[in-house]
Amino acid sequence: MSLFNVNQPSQLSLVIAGALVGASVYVATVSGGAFQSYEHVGSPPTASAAMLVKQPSELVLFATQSHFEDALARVRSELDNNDLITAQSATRDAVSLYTQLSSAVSPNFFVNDIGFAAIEWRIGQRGLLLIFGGDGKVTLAKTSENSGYAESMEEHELVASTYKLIDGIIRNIHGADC
Amino acid sequence: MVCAVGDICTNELENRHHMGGGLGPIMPEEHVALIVLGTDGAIGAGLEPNMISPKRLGRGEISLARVSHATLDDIRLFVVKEKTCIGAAAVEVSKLRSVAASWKESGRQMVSRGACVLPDVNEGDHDSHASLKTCAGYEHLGQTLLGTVKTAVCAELRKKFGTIRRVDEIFTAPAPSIPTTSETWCVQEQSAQPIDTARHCSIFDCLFAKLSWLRRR
Repeated sequence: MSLFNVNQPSQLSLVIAGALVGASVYVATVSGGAFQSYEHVGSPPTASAAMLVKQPSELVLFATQSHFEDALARVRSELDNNDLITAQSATRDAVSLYTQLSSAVSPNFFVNDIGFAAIEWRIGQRGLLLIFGGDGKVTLAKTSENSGYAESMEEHELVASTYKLIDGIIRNIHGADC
Repeated sequence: MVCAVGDICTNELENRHHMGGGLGPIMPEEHVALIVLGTDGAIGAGLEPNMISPKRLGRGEISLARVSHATLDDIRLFVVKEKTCIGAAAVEVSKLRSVAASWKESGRQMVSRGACVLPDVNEGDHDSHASLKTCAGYEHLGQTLLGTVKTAVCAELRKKFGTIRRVDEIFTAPAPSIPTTSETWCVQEQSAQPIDTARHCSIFDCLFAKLSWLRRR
């Protein structure tokens, strides 16, 4: 089952573009194109249109979706219906946020057995964990030699300032590699 | 019940051996190991995210072995069985007990232990079996905050375990089994050098040595 209900690769960027203009999506066809409501294409991300600040590349979008689909497939048997609904919203938020980041460092993507999606960057004792519970928000949890992920959590909206903040933290963790 | 961060808690002092007795509470300086079976993971890599997951942690289903009380043979016999063993990740218990969860509740900053390390021996388990379980200190939180805290606690616990190593780097080779002949028993009990049993060791000496060894065990 696809998380995103988008069957044609060419439609993907248009779905995102559609999100920018509101509740309808421009779907290209051979003979042209037309705006359709989301019901015909797939549900929108939990994050609202205003939260998207740049057009993600199709490659990054596909790769991220595919990471989360693999992660979800690994825990699918442990999720009940509520967990699955959480997982679908959470992964959509996670994809929506990840594709807005500028960082080139590859993180680990995972979905756990309660349906929460997460993205983790870690080098040695230092790391950043983004936790998505499907409510259109992200929790930033940092770890270091002195404090753990669960000790320093901050909830943020999926907005441009959050993406900048995350990019800054990743650069801080990875230093010159980033 | 909220468990203090770092200290041994009352849950961890409780006897959880199916027969009573057992090896007793797990001391902070002890090491515990998580055996990695199956196909997920590799030597030198960290634990896969779902090796320590919120539901399994909540049910106390994350099995550990107390390193100082289990040998390689015990691990092969009780844990690995016919499965593929990739390796194991070990950590000092005090580090697991130092994992804390912190959140805001009615404007106040709350702190709780992340997880308890319980000496949990059910029928069929080796006596060195232990389990990792969510601390009840934050179970009352609302669904989204609870899920977020649990996800962060699991990630921190994974970090504490560090990288996967070869099982024989963590567990010692099996202790020699109890010899059945008086000759070999005397060799082990009295000296590392082979001895002439007819001269130095009567059958009574050997029986006495064996009895005192069993008493010590």
